[in-house]
This record gives sequence, C-alpha cells and structure tokens, in this order.
Amino acid sequence: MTEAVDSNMVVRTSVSVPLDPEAAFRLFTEEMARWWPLRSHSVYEAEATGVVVEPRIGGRIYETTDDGRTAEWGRVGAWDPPSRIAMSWYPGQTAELATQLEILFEAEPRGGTTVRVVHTGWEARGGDAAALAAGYRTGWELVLGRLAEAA
Amino acid sequence: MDALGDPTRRAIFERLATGPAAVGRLAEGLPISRPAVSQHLRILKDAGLVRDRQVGTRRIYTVEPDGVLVVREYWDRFWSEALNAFRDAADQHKEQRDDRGG
Repeated sequence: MTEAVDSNMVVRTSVSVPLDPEAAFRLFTEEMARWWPLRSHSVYEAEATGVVVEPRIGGRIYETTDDGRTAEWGRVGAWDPPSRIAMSWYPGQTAELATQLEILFEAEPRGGTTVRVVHTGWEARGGDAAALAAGYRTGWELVLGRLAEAA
Repeated sequence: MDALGDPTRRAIFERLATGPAAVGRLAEGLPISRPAVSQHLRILKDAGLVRDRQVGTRRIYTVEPDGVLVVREYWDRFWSEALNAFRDAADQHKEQRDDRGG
C-alpha cells in the first residue's frame, strides 16, 4: 500500500473525428468556445461564456465571462499545427501547481483524425495527493455527482 | 451524501492532501471548533476520502490512498466529456461542410 500518489500517473483519453488533422486542429483551438462544455468544465461554470487559446508558444489559454472576468487555464508550451499542442494546465490554480497536457492529432488511414489527450506531470505538485486534489476545484459538479453516486 | 459539497470539508480535505494532521492542527487554520472539525472528518471518513490512525494520545488523519482513484476517475471523466463534446462539434462541422459541398 502506498500513502503517496504515484506521480507517474498518466490519464489518457482519445476520440475519433471525421475531419482531417488540419480541420480538427482548427476546430479544437480556434473555436473552442463552440464545443468545450463550459458549464461543467470551467472555473466560473454557468457564467463562463468564452475560451481563448493564444496560438503561439507562451500563449495563454483562458476562459472569459460576459462581464469581463477571465480565468487562466494554462500556457502553450508547444504549438505544432496540425499535429500537436503541449500546455501547462492549472485551471482555478496558480502556475506553480500546473500539471501537463499534450493534445495529439493523428491522421487516420480513412481520412479522419484521432485526437488524444495525455495528462501527466503530477510530480510538479510534490507527487502527493495535493496535486490530485487540486483537480477538485474545477468541475465541482462532476466530482460531487461522482461522490453522490458512491455514497 | 455530499462529502465534498461543504467548503469547510473541502478545505480540510485539501489541507490533508498536503500531509497528515491531527484534529487540533486542522482546527487551528479554520474558523470552527475542534468538535466541528471532528464532525467533518467523520463525514470524510465515511465517504472513504480520509482515514485515521491512533498515535499515542492523538488521532492522525491522512488522505485515503483510494481517494486518488476518485481523482483519477475525475480526470478520466473530465477529458472523456470534453472530447465527446469535441466529437459532436466535429460531426456537425463535417455535416455542414458536406451540405455545402453537395
């Protein structure tokens, strides 16, 4: 039994979409507010109305509200359209508590694209449960729903 | 039951996530009494998020390692939902393009 969280934890998720990598990359980054589930996956939840990805290394990823508030989610570390984006990830947190995201766009033989999210870098927060607990501060409803189901 | 639905319980859980602590230490950083902290700890324990052990005269609380699984599930679900939303948008995008093309 281990008391500390495994800092090598990797969360991987992927999806197949019927667009070529160029179109998938553009939709993902330029029109993020159109598809990102802001209500559940944001700092301001129901008040969040926009997401901006600044398309360059060092660019910010942030959400916006109609009354002008912003909440930073991360910073772009690698910008290689149409195949790859890397970013630090700290929605609702400060940059020192960032984990790392890599988003990959891989062409499929029949014309679609596999989009993969690889979420790592938990050791940046000390490799203990604090890193993971930070996840609780966004998408609270999801966590609470999960806990309600378990209880 | 909403184990983490209470701001004070979230604060206690997040504090414990940085390292083990006894009730007294936890109460020092919070505007509530020790019995109230104990009450919150009991709820967190019942939800499987923290565990305790007796060390001498003190009871030390730590985050339940399985609590990590909860967090992992959280991120698995977070990204699955985000990418499913992306796929829906991509499907729609393609349909619109096909309509224009045809």
